[in-house]
Amino acid sequence: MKKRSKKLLLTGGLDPEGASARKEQKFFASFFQKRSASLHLGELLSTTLLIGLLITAPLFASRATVNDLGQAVCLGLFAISFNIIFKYSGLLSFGHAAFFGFAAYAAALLLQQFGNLPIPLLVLAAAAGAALLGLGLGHICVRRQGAYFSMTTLAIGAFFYSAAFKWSSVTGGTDGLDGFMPDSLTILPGWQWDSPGLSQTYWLVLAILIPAALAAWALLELTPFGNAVRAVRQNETRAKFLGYNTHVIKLANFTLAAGLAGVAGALWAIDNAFVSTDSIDLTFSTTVIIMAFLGGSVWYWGPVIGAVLYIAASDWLSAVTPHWQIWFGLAFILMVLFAPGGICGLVAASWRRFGLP
Amino acid sequence: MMSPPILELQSLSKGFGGVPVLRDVDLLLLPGERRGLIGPNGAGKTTLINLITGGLKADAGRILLRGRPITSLPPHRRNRLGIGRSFQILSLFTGMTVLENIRNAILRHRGLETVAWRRLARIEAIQSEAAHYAALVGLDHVLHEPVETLPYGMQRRLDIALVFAQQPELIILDEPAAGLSAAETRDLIAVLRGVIGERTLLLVEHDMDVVYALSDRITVLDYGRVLAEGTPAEVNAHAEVRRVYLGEGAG
Amino acid sequence: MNTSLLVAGGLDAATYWSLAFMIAAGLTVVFGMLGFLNAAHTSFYMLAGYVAYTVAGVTGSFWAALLVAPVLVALGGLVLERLLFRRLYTAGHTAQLLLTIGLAYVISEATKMIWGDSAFAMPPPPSLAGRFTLLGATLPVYHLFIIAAAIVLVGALALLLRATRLGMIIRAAASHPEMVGALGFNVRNIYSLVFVVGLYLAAFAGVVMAPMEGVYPSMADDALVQAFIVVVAGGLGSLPGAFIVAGLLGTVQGFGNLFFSDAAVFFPFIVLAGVLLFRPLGLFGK
Repeated sequence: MKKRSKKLLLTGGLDPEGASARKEQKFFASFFQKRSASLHLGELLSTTLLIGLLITAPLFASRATVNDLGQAVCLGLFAISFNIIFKYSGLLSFGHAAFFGFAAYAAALLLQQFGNLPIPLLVLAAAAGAALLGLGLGHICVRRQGAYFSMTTLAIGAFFYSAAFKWSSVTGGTDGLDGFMPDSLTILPGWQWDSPGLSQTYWLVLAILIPAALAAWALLELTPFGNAVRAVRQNETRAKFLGYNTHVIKLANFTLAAGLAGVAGALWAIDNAFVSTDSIDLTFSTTVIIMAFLGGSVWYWGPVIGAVLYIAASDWLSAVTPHWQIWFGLAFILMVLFAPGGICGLVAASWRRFGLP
Repeated sequence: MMSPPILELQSLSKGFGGVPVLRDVDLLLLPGERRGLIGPNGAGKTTLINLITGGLKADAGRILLRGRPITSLPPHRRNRLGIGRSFQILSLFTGMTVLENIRNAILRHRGLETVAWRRLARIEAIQSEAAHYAALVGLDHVLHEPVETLPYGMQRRLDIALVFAQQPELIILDEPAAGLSAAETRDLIAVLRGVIGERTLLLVEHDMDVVYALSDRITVLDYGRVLAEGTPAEVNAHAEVRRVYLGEGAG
Repeated sequence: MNTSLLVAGGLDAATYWSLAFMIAAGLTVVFGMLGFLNAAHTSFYMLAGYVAYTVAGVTGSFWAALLVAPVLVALGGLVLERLLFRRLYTAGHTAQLLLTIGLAYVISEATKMIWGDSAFAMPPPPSLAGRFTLLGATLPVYHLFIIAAAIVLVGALALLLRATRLGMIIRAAASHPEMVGALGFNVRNIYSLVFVVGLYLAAFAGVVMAPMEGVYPSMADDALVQAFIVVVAGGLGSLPGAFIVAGLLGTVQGFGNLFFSDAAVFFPFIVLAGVLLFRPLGLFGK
């Protein structure tokens, strides 16, 4: 108690940047570096390449790969949504699976009830539900500093897991829900796909996923709103004293992330045709953190790389050892210690090192 | 008819962990007034600034802005009502350029900070207004530099620009000359003289040159109480002030 | 409402209180003293349970397991503290949480690798396996043991902190580490000691928990949620807060189980929401 009083006295009662915020900025210095023009170009090229590859994959890749990619992009969008809170608001959410899982269950149950619901509408409804949840829950969570935020989100995630677990009559508990996919998918009223194939479903998922991801990107990188979110991240105190309602801004970002996680969850239900508590438990919330981080937090699409790695590892490494997740986790720990920018961060760093400005 | 005071502090008190820092402080600022706030270290000046701007909650007393009580309003609301403040310890938006920093201030001032349907870069008016304020403090040649690469003196000037970019009615500057060399301080005074205009200024400073150059009246704070108030000449001649600052009449 | 029900509920409450406090105490103290948020804290709780299961299986003795497992696990934690956690004391909570949640993930998977995916039951020692009657209620003797053990452990620690020279040094180091360091004490070792004791308590809880609820792979996750709830609701860094909230949780669990056993899993969240509603920063949070 005394120590705090002294510190308060010295600074006149206010710690503008926050000592712990300073520490974090030191650790994640690479995140805040002003990125050079060539790096922007590199990101643009990489984004184009990534999206191009994803779209054209069914043309040249095996069925198994397309199947994997379908899962990977859904998880990738989920990881992007996590990163939206982490990178743009500097908050570590330990319960983000709550929104993904909620939307996945919602989509599955809606399809069970209304088999000919147009898919875009379905995804919108599930995501809107997730966003609404994010709005309400975020209001409780974002008024806190980092540690409190993380712990509260963990509790919220756990609550949703318990609800899904207990309410097994509706959610199927650990056994999960399957068989909710109708034989023909309604894209628009009057336009239906009978027994869609793997590629068709994959492209359907992409057709919703990529615009959603791009819209969120544009919002955060191009608009004044995105600028506000980033400004609050860089210096919340100064923003407050310049008139920014920082709580509302952080909440809006949290809601956006929840909604985007909802899109990912709904698409996952459609792509996977199966939803269980595996999509809403703490392990899953942790997995998405690992994915986002391994891929890299700085490039908007970095978390997708992390998701692709995760799916790839689950396919290839699991042939080597059934406990491949240990290596995954260890890689994550090493990344946190030595390369917090993730794999994309390493690539960007070598880009800088090898002569480009 | 007299216009209402811009700022009125009534019996403001604040303590930390049982230690009283401000006791029964009264202050009145009329529109257009330029008031210097001085006092020894630990007198409570920055605490007072934090109380006025909303960074801290008072234990007792009232704060009125143009007659309207703001004692329980959060900082962002007070700012929107017309209070702008600078920071004693530098507080800029790191990882952003000079232009982007000033832009942050202007966006909020123009009510555009949460616009989600327009490209920020395309809002020309904002860009040019930000450049204008950068020029005002002599930073137009470093518009696109990240602020952390700037020398301290320039960062201080940017801090000032952020305040003035929002054209606040009440400007509160908390040791704007802290850490500046004599030459930089002279530049700062010149800049401030140019931008303050008709607005009301409350200036906390240790550097007496700055205080004399920019203040019409001075309030002296000591151990959390108002020790004296008046014109620079009056304050200079005040016995108690002389005792506190110069140790005269002691023993 | 008969007394036997109350007594049963009361004993349950006290048991849960003891366990919840033992698990959360280390977490909150380490945060309060070192500013270190350890999301892998309950992984040690789980590990101790599994190790105890193995030791008990090998030696046939619960007491051997109780003696050995917490110490082993706590020592393992000490090694991790020296190698890993120390680097992060100045790195901010984000890095700490990231690293420790990753560690928890790895420990979880490693546990599954070593012991498999299934849950194990561990019988209490014959000396404690019986039941006793009190005011019409038939209660497990083992629960009494848990409560007694908790009282002894926590009491001993409290005594250590309040009445010994070492305790005085530790308390001083918590608020004025530089001063204590300047006086010639090795503050880093003091920190390590505090850390290890916190882990030991959690590990101990993990061992005594095993005969009650067995050991299972998601033990660490479940306990982490509860521990976080206790710490957040009690106030980050506050031991009295953790004590009270653990009591709240225990009471709600112990009595709620009697009447609303279906909703039992939600009790901790209700307590958390309730506390945060009135005290947004926790009972004694800053």
